[in-house]
Amino acid sequence: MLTQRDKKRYLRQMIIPGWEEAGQERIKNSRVFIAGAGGLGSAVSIYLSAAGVGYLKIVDKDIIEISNLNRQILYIEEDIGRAKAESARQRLNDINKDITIEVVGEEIGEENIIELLSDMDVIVDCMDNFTARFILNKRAIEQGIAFIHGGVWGLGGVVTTIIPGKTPCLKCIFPEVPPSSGLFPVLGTTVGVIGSIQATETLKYITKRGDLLSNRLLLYDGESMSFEEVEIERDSNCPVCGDL
Amino acid sequence: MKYLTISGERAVMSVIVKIPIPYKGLIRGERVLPLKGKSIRELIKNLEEGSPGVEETVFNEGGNLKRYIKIFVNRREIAFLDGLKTILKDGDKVVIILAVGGG
Repeated sequence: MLTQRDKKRYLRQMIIPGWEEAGQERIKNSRVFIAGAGGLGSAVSIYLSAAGVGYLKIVDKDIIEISNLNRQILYIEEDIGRAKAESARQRLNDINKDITIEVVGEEIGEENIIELLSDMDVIVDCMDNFTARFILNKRAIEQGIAFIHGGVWGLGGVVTTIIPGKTPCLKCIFPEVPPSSGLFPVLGTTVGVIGSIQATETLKYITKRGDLLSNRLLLYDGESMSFEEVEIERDSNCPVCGDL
Repeated sequence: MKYLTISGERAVMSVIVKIPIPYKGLIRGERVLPLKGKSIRELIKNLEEGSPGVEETVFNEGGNLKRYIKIFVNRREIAFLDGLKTILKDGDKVVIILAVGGG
């Protein structure tokens, strides 16, 4: 049930046609897993907190460094040297005290993924490496959890919404990834653009509205300020979702 | 359809090649190229002439497409068309991408 405070707080999104109290209640009752509290995770967690997602679980093992501050807008200079998980909880609680924020300062791996994802409705992929992304993707497919993938490089990025059994999974889309080249370039606004799209998709999925970014890969090129959309298809031989 | 090539000459048969995110020999940008060849493989060779390193980035030692490079023609991935033999026609739009892992 929405409180009077909820109705005031979320008024401007509740008056979006078709959103209303039912949509906001869905958001209040939802449990969203944010994998990574870096650049994408900052944008995603801030918007989902502000939108009133009732339960956010954020996982990140890192410590805040000064080189994070160009894009990881959850953090301020005083946070340097602190754990991202704890600073994220504090900042997001400052944004919205009416929601529950659980933080976990662990690395996502095969050994903890089952417990981390229990009772989650949506996974938002804000990781910075494909090893963890593929672990998350596999578990999302096994558990039937929606998986919102985003990735960035420089002024560009990609984003898609994966629905297990209905769309290609991350392994169908990228059966292999290029060798890691270490430090990747990134502008803060790039994670803002891609993270905002991921947050929008999450809210649409929860409220069951609009057309999801499914079976489509959206490509963002900030250099030319253009978007491109390509079709992605399921791989019947995919080792992760081919049997679904 | 007629397009101006980068050099300004008119090409009767042209394709648009877009690389939204750069990677090694793949230089970001949108180009209009005269369609000298008929297939994606020949298009890659044409790209190599303008920016050396493309073939090494795109093809493996066996001359096949590296599994982390994805090529789309008019939004459809060539893996679901005819692979590197996919025939290009005038005005087609080719997009070349690969996974980006940053977050």
